[in-house]
Amino acid sequence: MKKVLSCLFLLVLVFAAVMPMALAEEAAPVAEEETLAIIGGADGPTAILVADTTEDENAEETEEADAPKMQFGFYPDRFVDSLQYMLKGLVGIFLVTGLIILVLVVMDKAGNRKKKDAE
Amino acid sequence: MADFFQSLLGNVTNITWQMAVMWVIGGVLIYLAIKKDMEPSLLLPMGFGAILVNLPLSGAVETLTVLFDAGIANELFPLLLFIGIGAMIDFGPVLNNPKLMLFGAAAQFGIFFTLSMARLFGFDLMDAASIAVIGAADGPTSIVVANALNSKYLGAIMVAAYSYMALVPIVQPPVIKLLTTKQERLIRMPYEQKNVTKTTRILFPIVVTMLVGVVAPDAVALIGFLMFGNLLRECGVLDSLSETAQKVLANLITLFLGLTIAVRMQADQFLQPDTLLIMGLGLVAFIFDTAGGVMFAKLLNLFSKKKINPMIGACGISAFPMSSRVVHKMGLKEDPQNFLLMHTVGVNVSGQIASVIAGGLILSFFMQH
Repeated sequence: MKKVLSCLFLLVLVFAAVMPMALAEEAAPVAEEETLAIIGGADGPTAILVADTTEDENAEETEEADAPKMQFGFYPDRFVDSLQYMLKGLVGIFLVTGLIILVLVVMDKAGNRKKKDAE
Repeated sequence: MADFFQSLLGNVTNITWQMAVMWVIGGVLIYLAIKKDMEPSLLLPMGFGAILVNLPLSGAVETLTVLFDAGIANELFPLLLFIGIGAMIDFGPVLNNPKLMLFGAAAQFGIFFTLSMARLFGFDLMDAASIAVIGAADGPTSIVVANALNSKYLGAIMVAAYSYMALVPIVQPPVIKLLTTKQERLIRMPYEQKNVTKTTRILFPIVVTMLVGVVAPDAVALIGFLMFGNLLRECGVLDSLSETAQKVLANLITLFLGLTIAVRMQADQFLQPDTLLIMGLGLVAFIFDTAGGVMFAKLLNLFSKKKINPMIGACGISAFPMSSRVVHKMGLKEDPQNFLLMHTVGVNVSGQIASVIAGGLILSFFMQH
């Protein structure tokens, strides 16, 4: 099992490392007939992908999200300020939970009364 | 010939050490999923996705970004997944003993404590709130909150949330043991089965949606989709839809979810000192969630005649059903005749509701309307 998984990984890595370059360098300026050749792959998704790569010159431009930047340090004042959310949050949760419990108890009692009446 | 090899192997030179580190991380996630059976349905796609998006000039990034925009940026996937989760959950044990819901509420302490800790380390308020929701031990809620608050740490938050959910059997027992005595762990809790009417089972999801919706309107989608799934289950006339939601829908969304989240695991964004800090804060959240539930049970024991086994408080962390199984096993280990399962399941599903309420409250505190 381990060997099979390792081989699979290796295979995926090698292919994925090689394929984009081959596609990028070969496909970008290719003529239409070269794009058409991929139909020979008899594989719909691959054909669509390759054709799309050749059509869209910007296909390789991936969106580069801003790398997270944080000023690491200790900010005790921020810790103290945020305690209000702890208080509000816990009060809020217990309040809603209490309401739900209350409704459940009422529903339970109403259900039991109906049952007794029926009996 | 040289050109041929250049075009074939040239991409190898684009490999960076950061990418290699991400492959290792992806490999570890896959290993944990396959070998240790830890949340395999999510860790495996996430692990494979981490490798996929960290290959040089990876063409998968574009495709996964489309999926991300279509399913996660607009919160569609986590919400649809909640229909499946709602259909899977039997709220019977809570309806049988509604007081168990209090433990679910208490075990959300870790969320708010982590928020303060994240602020202490310098995260801005939005990111701190998003990181804190790792403590909801509930993937969809974490995704929705982090996304709604526009956190730049979505990838790290997801990895932390799902990893710690999978690590519940390792994280919770030491905390529970540390906070309880042997005698407390031996407390037996007889289970009194009540007859919960079908009407109550049907009304429960509707009432909870309305109550939570009024108090925390930003959580309506979360609680509403969860409870809609449960209504499908309990109504008794839509068994086929309920089964589809539990199996096909949940599986399909899970399949895409893990893979799509990986788009936020690109080396340049993921390999930051912040990520390590977020992983640490995630652990803090899980520890203090557990502690919150256990300590609340101990507090109740000071006043109540019927003693509660404080271990069940730990199940309020959500992480359904892993947490209830862990505590049930701990109870059996202490006393082979002590069956806590029904209580632990009750607290555990309460935690599911409470975590959504906590997420909703966080959104209502910080979301800008």
